[in-house]
Amino acid sequence: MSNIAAARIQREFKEVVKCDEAAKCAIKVEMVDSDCMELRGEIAGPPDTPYEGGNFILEIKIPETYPFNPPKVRFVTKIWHPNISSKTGAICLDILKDQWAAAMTLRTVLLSLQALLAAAEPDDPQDAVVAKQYKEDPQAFEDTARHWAQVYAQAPCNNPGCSAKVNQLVDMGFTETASREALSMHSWDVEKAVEYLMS
Amino acid sequence: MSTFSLQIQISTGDCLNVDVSDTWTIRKLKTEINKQVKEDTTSAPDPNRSDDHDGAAVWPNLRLVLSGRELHDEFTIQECNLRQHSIIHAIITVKNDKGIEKPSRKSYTSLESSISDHRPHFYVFCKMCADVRLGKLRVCCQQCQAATFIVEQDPTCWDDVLRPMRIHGTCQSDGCHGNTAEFYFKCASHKTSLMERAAVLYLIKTNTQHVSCITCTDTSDPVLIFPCQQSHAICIPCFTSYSSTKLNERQFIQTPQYGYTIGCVAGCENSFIQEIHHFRLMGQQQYEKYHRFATEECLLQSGDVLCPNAGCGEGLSIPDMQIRKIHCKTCKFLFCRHCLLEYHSGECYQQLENPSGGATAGDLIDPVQAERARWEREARETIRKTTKPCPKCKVPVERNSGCMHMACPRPNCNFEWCWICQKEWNLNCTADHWFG
Repeated sequence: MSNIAAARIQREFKEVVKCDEAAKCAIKVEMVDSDCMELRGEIAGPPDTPYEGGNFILEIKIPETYPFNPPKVRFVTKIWHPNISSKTGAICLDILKDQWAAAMTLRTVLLSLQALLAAAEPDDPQDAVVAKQYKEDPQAFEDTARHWAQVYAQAPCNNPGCSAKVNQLVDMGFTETASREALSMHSWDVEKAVEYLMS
Repeated sequence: MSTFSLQIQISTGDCLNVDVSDTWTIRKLKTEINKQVKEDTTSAPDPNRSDDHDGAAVWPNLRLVLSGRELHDEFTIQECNLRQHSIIHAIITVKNDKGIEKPSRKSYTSLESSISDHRPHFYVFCKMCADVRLGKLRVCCQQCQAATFIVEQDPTCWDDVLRPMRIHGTCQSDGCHGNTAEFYFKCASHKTSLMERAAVLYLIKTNTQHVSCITCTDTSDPVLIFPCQQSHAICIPCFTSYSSTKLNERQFIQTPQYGYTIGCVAGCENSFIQEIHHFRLMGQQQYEKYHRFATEECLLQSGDVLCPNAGCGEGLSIPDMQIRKIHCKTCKFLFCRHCLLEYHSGECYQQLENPSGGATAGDLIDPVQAERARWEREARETIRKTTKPCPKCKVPVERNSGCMHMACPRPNCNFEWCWICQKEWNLNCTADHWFG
């Protein structure tokens, strides 16, 4: 890793550790390896969103050419969001692509991602299925996002209906993950989900 | 107090070195010059010389000029900003009608300190040192190039210095009626010849404000200030990495006004670097590469093609777009204009949507891999397998993560396309296979 990249990351790491948001447990960052090439980020689900109370883990890979090129960031925690792939955790956010500038830091990236959770941009979606649901059936979207946050991000449980439906499909012999995905994609319509799983 | 050596260039063509102390007055310097001339020349009568008798000056009307200003008797060498290796021009003349201001006892302002109070101030790229060095501003007559030129007014801004015809004055050379000043820069770290010039890197400044680098946040000196509205500062090592990274990824932009360049590291608008000598900071090898890429980009923009043969890259101008079979006159490679592969008969299925945007193979992807590809057929094969050409400009593009929505990485193309369809990105791509 180049000296500039390593020096920058070490400084930015300290910046995140010392910042106000870290004190409030809203963002967090940890070193994964000693040479700063890979970090583990954590953001708290913003209040008044379906993600509230959840903790979302991020994989952050620093390129050799940092900070002239953006870090590669991906959600490790599975999440239901129009701009984040429900399968791989890939993120659609302009500052992580062509709008990146060397003046941005780990802290601004984490805060931007948190802001993305609070305000999705369904017209520039990473996950077309989620985006469609977000626009056409906001209630189903919110239920699904909340359920995923509860299952994968340890958010408090307050919608037992979804879990019951997942269990129903599991009892039919489908895996839990596949059942959850099928139900989520079909706005918790059990019949459609089964049809999808059988096809 | 310090002592050093000054070079005196006399208008007769002679040159002498005088050891001085910075507390000396110019009057004392003149006396010393006269003394040395007297010792040196015992014979050979000089027409400009006054009656030669003991104790009298050889040239009582000796006048000294530095950077377009006459040095008046009352000032000290220190006040006149004279340093080691400074070249002072001595004019021996009897006439006194060439518009020289009478000595006045206002404090001496050199050209340099009139632009800023902080010294040292100018930075140049010295070819001899092959590095950034402190520079000194000098002035000469635009017409005869003689340094014996006295300016009417000081330059007050960079434009006065960098743009021609802005500052006037009087040339003191015999027979020259030049009245326009020409400014230039020299390396201040070693002795230079009269004609030697260095490119001024006017974006580099002494960090008098103690601002930290926008990239590494260290406070170092000097710094480069981007020409953006916010005047973002970057330290020299970070600027070197920044420009090298962008160059290797072909992220420089071909602009109509300033050529092949980049803007502020923070992505500010209207922040293009206009003086390309700043890219010399990348080192000789990268600077040569910069010129090569700039030429290639320029050729591509004007509809020319570059020979795709490994190690060649010759620019070929074949204005007739109907001609598909191109023969490189340098390496004799015969290739197809559309697919940039060896020439083949029959229809080419790589027909360009925009025929003016041909592109070279390689380089936009991993530069190491691309560099090897110039020599190794095997690596070229890898590139062929791991990349897909941009549907518009044909440059090979690698998809290393994320969605199927691609944007051509060539800044002058930026075409948005679908990795699967290999066509312009559309709503169907979003709905059906955004994610593959």
